[in-house]
Amino acid sequence: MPCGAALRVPRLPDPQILVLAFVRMGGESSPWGIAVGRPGKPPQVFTTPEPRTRDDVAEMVAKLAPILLTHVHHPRFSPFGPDSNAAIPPFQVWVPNATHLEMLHHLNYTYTFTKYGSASRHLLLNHVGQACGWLFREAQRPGQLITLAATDVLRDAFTFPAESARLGHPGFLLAWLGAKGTRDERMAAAAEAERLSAATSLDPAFERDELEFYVDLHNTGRKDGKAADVARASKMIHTRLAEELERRFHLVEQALSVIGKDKRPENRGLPLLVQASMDEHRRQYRRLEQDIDDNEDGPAFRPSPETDRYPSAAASRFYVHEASQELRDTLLVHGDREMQADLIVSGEAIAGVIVDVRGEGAGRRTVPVWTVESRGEVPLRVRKDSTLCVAGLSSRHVVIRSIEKLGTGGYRFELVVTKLINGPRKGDGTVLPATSPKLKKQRVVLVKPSMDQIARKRSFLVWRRDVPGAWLTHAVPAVREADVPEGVAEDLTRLTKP
Amino acid sequence: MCRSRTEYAISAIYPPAMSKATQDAHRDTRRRFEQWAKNPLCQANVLSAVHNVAMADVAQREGGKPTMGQSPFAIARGQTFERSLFRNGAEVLLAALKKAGVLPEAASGLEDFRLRMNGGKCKSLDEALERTAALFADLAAGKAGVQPALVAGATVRIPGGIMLPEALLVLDALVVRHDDALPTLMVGEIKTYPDRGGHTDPTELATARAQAGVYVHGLDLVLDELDLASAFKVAREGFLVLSRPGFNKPSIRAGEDLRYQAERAKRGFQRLRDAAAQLPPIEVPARFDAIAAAATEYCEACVSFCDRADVCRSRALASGDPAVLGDDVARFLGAVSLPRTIELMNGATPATPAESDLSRRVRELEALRSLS
Repeated sequence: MPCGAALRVPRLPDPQILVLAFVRMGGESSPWGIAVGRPGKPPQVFTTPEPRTRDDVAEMVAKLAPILLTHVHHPRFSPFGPDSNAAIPPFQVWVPNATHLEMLHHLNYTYTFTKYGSASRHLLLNHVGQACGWLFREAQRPGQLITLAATDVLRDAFTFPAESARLGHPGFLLAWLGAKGTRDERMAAAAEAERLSAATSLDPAFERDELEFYVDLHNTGRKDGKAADVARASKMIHTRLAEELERRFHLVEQALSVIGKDKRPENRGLPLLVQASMDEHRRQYRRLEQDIDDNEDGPAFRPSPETDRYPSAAASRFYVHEASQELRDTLLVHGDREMQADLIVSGEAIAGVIVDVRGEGAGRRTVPVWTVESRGEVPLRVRKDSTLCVAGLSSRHVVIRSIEKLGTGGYRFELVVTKLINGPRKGDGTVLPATSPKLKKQRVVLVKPSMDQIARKRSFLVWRRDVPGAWLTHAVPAVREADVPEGVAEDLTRLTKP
Repeated sequence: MCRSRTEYAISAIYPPAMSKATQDAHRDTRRRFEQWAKNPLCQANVLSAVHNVAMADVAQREGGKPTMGQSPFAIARGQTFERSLFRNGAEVLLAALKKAGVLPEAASGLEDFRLRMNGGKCKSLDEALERTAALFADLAAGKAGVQPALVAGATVRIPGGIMLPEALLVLDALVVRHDDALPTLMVGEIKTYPDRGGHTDPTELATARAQAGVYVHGLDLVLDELDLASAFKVAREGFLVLSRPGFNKPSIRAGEDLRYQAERAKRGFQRLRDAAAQLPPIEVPARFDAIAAAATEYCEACVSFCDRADVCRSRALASGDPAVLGDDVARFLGAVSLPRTIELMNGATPATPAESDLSRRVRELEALRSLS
């Protein structure tokens, strides 16, 4: 069942999308194999026969580096070069589900600060670690539109009749959407699809029956110097893993296809969210990769994959997340009637009819006042003096002057229009002035306006040392330092320099 | 020497007869307790936990395919990681515990009661049991020269026959601090998965803490049974030993509050004792059939731990149990079945107070939706 009247993810052209899928050996955190490519084209598959050998995995990840770094517009690899003002077009990185996002974090841990191997390789791996770290961190930011897990996108776009514990499997979701026939037949197809692993982990039986023998053969051959055994085992392991990786890759392609063919329009708030994502990309990825300090977003440093160890950095990111959540919630609701309905049900928005429009004020200053009546036993979380805006016309703000409970159920609100009183200056006439009598009897939904700029401004201010509270936000706590091995932590001296 | 492919296949289909050591490993009761705790309302689950009959075996007998198996590589990785921690007198683990403040700098000494199959020195769980009890007695008596900082594989038997046939707990790591008036015992749980700071899977962490809580409660009971409760202090704080992502090094999570987990274990064991007491004795050969025939109570959690979840889900679906749509829907619909809910939504007249209430809530939601 479709969820929402509009899609909450932009449909980009295939060249702007990179699909990544991983598999890992049971118990290990490094990848055993990687599939990477554009939707609609066969992926490139990289594997290593023995993922417990650090050097082999590093070699494999180094092959991924140019593809990934070009796609995420690393200053050295991007066709736009290091120009910080370059108008980089939006891009996306899609993975099958949340376990593949975790793998980005593992790569972040392993390679961001590594000094292992030759200089040329470890610098390349540092870039990969940093890119994966940024993609992983970005995936946690509400409303971001760059790092996308297929399962999250599908669950955002559709409601599935199953337990939430099963909704992390892209094959399960796609079978529900794609299978034909009766409910029972679709359910059976979904259950069947669910049996094939889509996570980074492989099916234990598959590992035992198809891979364990060849891994042993490879390792024994390597130890005994039997090149033929090593080659045979490597080939078989690659073949088996490639099947698994390609299946995961194709699941993402199918998810993209489902979203691409969906008849619903894209939410009209998306361009602004895309812009916010690209702004984060510029500030938090490309800037840091070039070691450029920023007056607003703080010094350039490699964030630790583990935690925030410096209060200003932690506080700044907290405010960025708060602003992002606010922006997402308040932007998308204007283009999605179902989201509006959810807010009305929870009492955070008002739906009603304008029963009276009048003008107050003296002289040439007009103060439009609307009387809006809602129906039904609706919970109400908005209060007197709250500021709201008109759904679909976010620039028109109103302030609640009074709230009166009606005997028939519902409420009567007296609202003062405070912004966009006369309509847009270069409007086409479709937006009536707030004093127009034609507004009477019109239905209106009022939602909270975005206050994201407040939190965003705080995220800048928290870096300043000359403001009240700086003693707190710039003090490194005198407690036991995080137990981080060498090469896994950011450079705190760079952050704490006066 | 590399085993042939056929040997691998044969060993997978026909596991060799269990050795004594493997049988010992099956006597560790903590896993059964956790299995029971995940769905204590399911009678089949209670029987399986109490009688120590794996659900995978029941599922296989019913013609199903077990789905909760473990990767051979993951098992090997777990063993390798644990061995690396305890190698050379637990050099690596002791250093990490000191760095995390779990042990004082001067602490040293390891008592290793792990089974030989796990790289330890004990031949059997019975030997581990005896040696653990002897160690507690020596520590309580303040015997000269007995002051280990760390005990690997400490094994305790929970008295009272809470579970049939027995209740054994094997503690991954037990720290003994000697810097207080009484020796302080502190429970640790070793997990192979990587510690990713604030991004570590909260469910995995909760499971590890719950396990450590069971051990704290087990220690309380055993020391009481040995009449040594006043000779020790069992810390309500414990520690987790995880691995570092990309490194084969331990990451210690110290200061884990286990008070409530120990309380949960205490109450859980009591409930399990009650449940076990109510079960009629069942001969071993009849246990599979008894579990297969027992009443089930499907819920969302079953998907994550039970090999028979598919069977129970089909039954639940056939009976219109709203649990098949998840715990949220089950809570919303209460006692009203799915087919009956659809009838009510299509205008059927409610027949019970529960149905009237559900109809009212559905109507209200529909009305609110239409407002937008």
